[in-house]
Amino acid sequence: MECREARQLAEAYVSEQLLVETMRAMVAHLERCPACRAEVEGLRRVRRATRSAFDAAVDLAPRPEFVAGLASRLQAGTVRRPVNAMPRRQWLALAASGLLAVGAGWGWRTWSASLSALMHAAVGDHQFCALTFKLAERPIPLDEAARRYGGVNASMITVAPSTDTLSGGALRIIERHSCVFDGHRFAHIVLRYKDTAVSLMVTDDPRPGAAWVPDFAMIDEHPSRLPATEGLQVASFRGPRHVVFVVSSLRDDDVQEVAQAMAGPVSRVLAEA
Amino acid sequence: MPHVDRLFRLAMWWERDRREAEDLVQDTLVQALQSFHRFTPGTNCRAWLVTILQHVRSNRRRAKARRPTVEDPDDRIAETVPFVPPVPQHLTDEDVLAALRGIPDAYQDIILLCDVEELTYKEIADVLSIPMGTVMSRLHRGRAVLRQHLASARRVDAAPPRLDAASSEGSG
Repeated sequence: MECREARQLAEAYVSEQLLVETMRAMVAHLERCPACRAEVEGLRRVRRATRSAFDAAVDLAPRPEFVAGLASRLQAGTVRRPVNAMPRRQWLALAASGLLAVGAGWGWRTWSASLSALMHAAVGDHQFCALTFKLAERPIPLDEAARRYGGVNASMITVAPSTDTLSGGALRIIERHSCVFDGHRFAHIVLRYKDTAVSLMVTDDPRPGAAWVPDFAMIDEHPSRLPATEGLQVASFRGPRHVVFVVSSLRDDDVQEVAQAMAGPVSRVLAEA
Repeated sequence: MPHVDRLFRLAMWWERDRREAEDLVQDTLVQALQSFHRFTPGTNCRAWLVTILQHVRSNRRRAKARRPTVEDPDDRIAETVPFVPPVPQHLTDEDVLAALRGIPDAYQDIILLCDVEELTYKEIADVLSIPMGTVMSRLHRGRAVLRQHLASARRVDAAPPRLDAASSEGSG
């Protein structure tokens, strides 16, 4: 790839809109061209600064009372209905269907027993698969897992490491496969960051209804910090019908940084799955 | 309600009025619930909600007879971005938001949807009902104009007061 083409693709590159092959060519060019690298970094800096300023602006934030009141009104079906609204009976049926679980406590921090167990399985998988290679059941390639189990495994074959420049340098994918720990099957991507293994594990969302009620409370690609478990830091985010865990012995901030960087690429392939 | 914060910020940016923004978000969620059968599982839920937010906003503006932006900024700006300055080293939140406010609305929308909401070009095209090619060209121009605004804001900040005074005295 030449500089001229790289400059034309720079916008799409920082927006993570390039196809995998083009992105690889772009990364290869950037590795050897400081001028294009500086151009891309400038674009990235404005992009990050824009998001950061927008998210931090206090005068753009909703009032907590508004959010709480809205959740209550939606659940109760008492909001002012626009013109052409559906008949009230349908409205109530819809509310009762679980769709309005929006504000009902399915918040990410409200850990159900099944999710907590899943997090412990993810931590165990990181310890026994990524670190000590002592799994009871041998891992299988993702394409084989895709044929046998379908779903998420096929998506994880194509997910690319984030192209963001992290504080500790680039993220590298060193292994991807499907493995089982404590009865839970994970699509497991092992990354290396700051010379330390980081596991990114994707599995089915175990919550009741998660597979068929894709309500907007259940999809949140922004990573959350979870309590440190067995000396390991854990972050998590969700895609449609899937939960993603990021586990490592790195510091909490580093794990969060990796999770933040991978949330976009992983969520995108999950959404397309 | 994980998406409400992001929806509200967009609504507040657009409306610049808290009451209007709250109405807009509430109407959006009501519409979303009514149209839930149209949501395709596995697709980007936030993009779907932002699309509804944009439709509700357009309908409300039409109802108030305040037409949405009719001027296509692409033609106006296309020939006026001869130089894209380097990005200033130090950017404050205030600089960035002021610069963003200073560029045409159509560019603000594209930059917010792409860089803040992190929607794909295809999703942005759906939200704004414009072709993907227009998304890309507006994004390119919008980012260039934003960089010009950022650079000029920083230049003003960076100018030493004494030189400013000397310069104004000299020219007067």
